[in-house]
Amino acid sequence: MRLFSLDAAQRKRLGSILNTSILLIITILFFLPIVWACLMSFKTRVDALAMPPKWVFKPTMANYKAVWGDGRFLKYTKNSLIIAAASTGLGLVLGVPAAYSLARHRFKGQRALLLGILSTRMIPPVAFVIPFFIIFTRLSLNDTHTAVIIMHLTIILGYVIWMMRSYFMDIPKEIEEAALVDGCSVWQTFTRIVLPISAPGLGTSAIFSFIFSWNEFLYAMVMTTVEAKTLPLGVYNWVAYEEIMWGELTAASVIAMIPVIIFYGFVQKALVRGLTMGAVKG
Amino acid sequence: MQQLAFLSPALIVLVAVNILPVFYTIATSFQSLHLAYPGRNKFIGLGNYISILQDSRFWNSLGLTLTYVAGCLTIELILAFCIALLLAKQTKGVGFIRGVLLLPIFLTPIVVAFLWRLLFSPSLGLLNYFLAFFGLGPYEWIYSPQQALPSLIIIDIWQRTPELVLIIFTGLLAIPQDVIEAAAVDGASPWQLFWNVKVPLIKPILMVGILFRVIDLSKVFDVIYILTRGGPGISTETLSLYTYTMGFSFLRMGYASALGMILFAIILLMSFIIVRWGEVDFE
Repeated sequence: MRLFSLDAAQRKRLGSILNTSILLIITILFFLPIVWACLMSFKTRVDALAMPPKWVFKPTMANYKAVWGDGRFLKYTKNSLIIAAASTGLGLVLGVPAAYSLARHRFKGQRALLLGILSTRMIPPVAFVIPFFIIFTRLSLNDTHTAVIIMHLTIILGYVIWMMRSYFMDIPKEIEEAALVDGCSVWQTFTRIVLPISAPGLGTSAIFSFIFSWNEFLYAMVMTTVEAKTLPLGVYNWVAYEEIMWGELTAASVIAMIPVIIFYGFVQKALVRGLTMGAVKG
Repeated sequence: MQQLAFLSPALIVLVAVNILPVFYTIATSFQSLHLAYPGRNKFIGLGNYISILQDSRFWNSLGLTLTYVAGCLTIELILAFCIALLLAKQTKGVGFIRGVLLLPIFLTPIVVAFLWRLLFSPSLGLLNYFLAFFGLGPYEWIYSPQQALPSLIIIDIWQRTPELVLIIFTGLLAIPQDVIEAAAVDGASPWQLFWNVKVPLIKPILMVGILFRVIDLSKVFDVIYILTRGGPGISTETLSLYTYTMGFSFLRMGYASALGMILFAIILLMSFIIVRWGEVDFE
């Protein structure tokens, strides 16, 4: 009953404390699994299996040394980096000019074209991978970087076109018109004026594309066996062939998470846009 | 002409890597293609589709897929609205809370799967350990046919609710303050304010979020494949999982292509309904 004797200012303060507490509890609940996995990666085998769970323990780097010392893990990391960088680069080179054209010119059937590009995201990957599997097998391209890069490009290209179109639409046309009047060619205007202004958009598109490729599982699983295996597959096989070593597994997971977390920090301001392919501007 | 130079490289690649493969899959869905006997491949018209309609395992996977989509979407929407409303009221530390809360969205599926395998573990899992304090459990989670699908829904709620929180939160911030004040002056209750003022105003953004959520949920594969492979039995075998099993375990590519096309048609139909009914405008 005391609650009702509080004056307005006190009630407001209480409300704000309550608001903050509930939000903090939710945030901790969402974050706890990640923290738990990180702790696990620094535990010895005995500590990892201890029940009740040990929150305080003597940390060891043994798991990381074991993972890093395994030559395969290094190779998978390299594969993942090559594939993610190449598919992102190709997606930008092909997609950015196309997005610019789609942002600046209207033509018949443009809406249909854009929705067609969007619908590539609706194709179930399990069905889409079948023709590639058959064709790549015929061309002996299975288990090569090229195969996975092409598979990832199928998603990234459409993504880049949608994202960059939304950024280009935000640039006032007058800037380009002024450049054209001053004697710049269309290509010069594009490379010297438009692209530098769109740097944040390019960065966001690149980061989202990179993270997609880095995380992708199904295409990489179907297309690779030994040589071109990516990091997620490497982590997956860690479990498939050996008994579960939770310490090493979580250490491998933490390493796989690092680039994602670093890049995530860079795109904080553009998250809504990135997650909706540019359809919602945050 | 210049426009063509900008556009055509991307269009040529799109046709080659996106459009042709889709037609290839459609063509394969009308064939009996079995990878172990490629020589015996022949055109069978709607044969695969007719078999699928009589296949009880298909109906099971369709039901599981729809249950999964509906279950995840409903709970995620309710939770996301609650969290976004709290976040919109918050004045201090919004950036920090947002940053931590949204992190799970970007985690590698393989990491997410193992994280939850660790949490679900009957012997050393944190979940059973904590629930025991409340006199609940122990549960079998992904290891029981009854609890496996709800367990997988919990994982998606954990990973993807933040996505909807972000979208709703962005929408709430964009509502002009004077609209809220005008409604309050007119004597709207908090519930009316939410349901009759805020929700309609954020509907365009919300529908985009729901669209992407429904597309991604319908295609779900990674986490389920890694954790249960559709099991125990076929209790978590969604349509994507069944398609994969048919195509890459039984090598029945024709049948798998037809299954995939049915899933594609379902996703297109649901997307069409959301875009139409939600008046989504992609401009």
